[in-house]
Amino acid sequence: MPASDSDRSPTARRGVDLALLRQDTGVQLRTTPATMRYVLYALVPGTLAYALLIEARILFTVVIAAIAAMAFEALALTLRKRDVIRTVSDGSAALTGVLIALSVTPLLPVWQLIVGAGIAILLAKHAYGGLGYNPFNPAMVAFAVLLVSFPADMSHWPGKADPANETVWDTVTAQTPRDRWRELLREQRHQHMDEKSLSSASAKTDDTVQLVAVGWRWSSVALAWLLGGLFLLWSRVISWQAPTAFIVTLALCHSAASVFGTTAFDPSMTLLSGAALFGAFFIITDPVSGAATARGRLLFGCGVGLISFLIRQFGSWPEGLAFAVLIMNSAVPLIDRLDTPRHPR
Amino acid sequence: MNTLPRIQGGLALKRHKPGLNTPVVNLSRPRTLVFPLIGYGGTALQPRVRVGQTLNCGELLADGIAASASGRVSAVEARPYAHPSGTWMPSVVLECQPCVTANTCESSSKPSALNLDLLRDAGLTGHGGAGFSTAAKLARHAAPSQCQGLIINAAECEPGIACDEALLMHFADEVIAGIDALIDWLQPQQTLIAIEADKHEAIKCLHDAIANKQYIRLQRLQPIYPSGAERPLVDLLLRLEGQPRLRRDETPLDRNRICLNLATAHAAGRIARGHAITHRLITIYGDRPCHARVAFGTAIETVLADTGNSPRAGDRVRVGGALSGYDLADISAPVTAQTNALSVHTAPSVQPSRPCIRCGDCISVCPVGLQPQQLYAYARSADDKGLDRQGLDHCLACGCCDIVCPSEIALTASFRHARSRRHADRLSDRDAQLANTLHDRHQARLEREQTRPTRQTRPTTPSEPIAADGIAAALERARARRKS
Repeated sequence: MPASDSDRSPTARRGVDLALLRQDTGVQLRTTPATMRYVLYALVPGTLAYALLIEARILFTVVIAAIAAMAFEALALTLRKRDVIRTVSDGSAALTGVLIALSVTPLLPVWQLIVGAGIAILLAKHAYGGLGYNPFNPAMVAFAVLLVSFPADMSHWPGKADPANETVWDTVTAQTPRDRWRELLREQRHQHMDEKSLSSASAKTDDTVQLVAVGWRWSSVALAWLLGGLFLLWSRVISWQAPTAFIVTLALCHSAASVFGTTAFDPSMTLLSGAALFGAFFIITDPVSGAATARGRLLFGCGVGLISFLIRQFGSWPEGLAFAVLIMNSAVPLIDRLDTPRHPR
Repeated sequence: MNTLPRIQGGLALKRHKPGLNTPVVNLSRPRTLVFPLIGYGGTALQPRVRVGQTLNCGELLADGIAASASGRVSAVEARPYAHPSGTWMPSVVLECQPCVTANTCESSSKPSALNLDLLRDAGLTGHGGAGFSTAAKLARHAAPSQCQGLIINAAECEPGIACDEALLMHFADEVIAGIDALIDWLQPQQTLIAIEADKHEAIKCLHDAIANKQYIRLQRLQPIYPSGAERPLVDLLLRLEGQPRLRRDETPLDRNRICLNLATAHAAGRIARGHAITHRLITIYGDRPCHARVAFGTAIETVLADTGNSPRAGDRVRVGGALSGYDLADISAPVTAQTNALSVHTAPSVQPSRPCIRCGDCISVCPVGLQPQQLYAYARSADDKGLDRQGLDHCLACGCCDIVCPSEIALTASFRHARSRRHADRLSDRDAQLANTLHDRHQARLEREQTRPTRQTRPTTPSEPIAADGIAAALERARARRKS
């Protein structure tokens, strides 16, 4: 018997000894908190672009939402008698808060933002058992609840992004830029069809110029999201399947629709405006509520793309991503079930 | 040959093969050798020897366990054995003359061609780790003459284990002699040695040894863990031949492929040359990494002390590698044929795991195409149907999913647990079914006896009281019958 038997660790166990493996081979893989940190880093360029080009208040709302989400997480963990420090510090709650703030309009009243964070953390996450067990994307649940509860405030988007303009807070339209586009292009089409007077058409031209400017700004933000997304792909935090399937499906649907002449959007505009790229890389890549396998992720991305196209095209909401994600979230158990490993039996 | 066959899943781990640069240490054989009476899968074995009996080297102590020295059985008693639980097991204790080397066996019989009985009598078990009886494995093979492929598994993918590599580097000729003996017996259509391409030194030695043997082919593999696992390896080789993979209920033998570990083939060669299975090569990793020839039955404590790797207070001793091995609770446990590596390391802190975030990393590394995270969910909820659908039985317990899991979940341990639980459930189901059948039969018999009263029950009916002379008459009849 060894002399030091009494002070030997009683956890003599069988199985993988990660610490020893690391010591021997130096293999060091990314942990869950690191994954969350990477996603937060990837959001930096898009957020900065957003703040510079669209609305500086976004920086304020992002911080508020992150703090609120972490506070709600700490509350839920205390109530559930879990390790508060360890879990809050994994960054998942902060990420959820940031994603909510970036999804909703930056002009949303702060109390509504906090309500959204509470819904995401308490209702969508901890009511189901916390990190890893939520069937729905918490940020999108919060978005949907806020959209349904406060439709007016939620569609209060910054319209004039001109920094020189003193009335930054004063929005020209009560719709998202995407919504404005739709309205405008519809009118133009009607004019083309009706061959109405030239004067009314020229009256719209100013508006178009302004909208093109807004479109340019939003497109820049979208490209900044793309930059962050490429970083995530490169660092292998996310896999390519879901974003690619989503973007391709969306582009194909819109191209087909424009060929048949039933849409107001052209595909490039579709991808560079609204939430498409942000959603592609930061929303539908949520691993917990998304499909787990490679094929499942392709299917999931396609589904989200198709449903959000249908909502944009035929539904009454200007932006269909949140509902599309929630609908596909509910289909994930089925998708996972479809793609079970096939072994020769 | 230039392009290596693609391996499904797995992980490219940094090469960590300690103790290859030093010459092989020949450890002295201690006075006392201990042989735990444990067979494949932890089954208890019946000893074939009695206390006080003197034995010759190579005689069987039990099925699959040969004495590694001549000596006297001093006891059959519970002793610690190499197992993470630290429980003791009935073991044969052999007192012998100490010897300066591990492999000097006083008695060696004449060389002979290999056959099943020879292997069985020599007590050869697989040196890879599972410890299945080689004779039993080959006995399952329906027709030895129809062997299509003899696969010698020299792929040793786990970090920290290098005993097969050392065997090739120092004893390549002996290994090839063993393979030749197997070829003579099994007459395979082709023979190949599977080895990872990054074992340059070993491959060079192997090349030299098979230079004039065209019938042995070298199959290089990508150095990706777990390339040495038997089933995926055979699947891979079948794929190269354009054949379908193994079904779940098939073993390589069902496809006429015989897959043996390199060290097992080496041991078979020793048997063919008339030697007994007395020792093996073990990787020892501690203060002085080395490879040592150790007699079976030597206490691990002694092995470590003799090679200058004694653990300090607080150190842990592990059998096997970081992935498939286990920590010893008691280092006085003896070395067996399955002990491939010993390592002494300091106790690192084990972090508690975090919840699964379904990232899917485990799915992409699984060498047999399972979805560990789904399996884990089913294992936690003890959903047997789900476990079956996800193919729990295919799991190799290689630990790749544990390595990549960002939440550091002990996935493999949970699969092992689910497996043993299901095994226990199946056994208790079988017992319950047996009890049911017996009960039904009992009931049926009782009913039968009630409906068709037997002769003994008739006289006891109260309507016919037994008369005293009736008994006397019966006794008379019985006597008369006995006489005639």
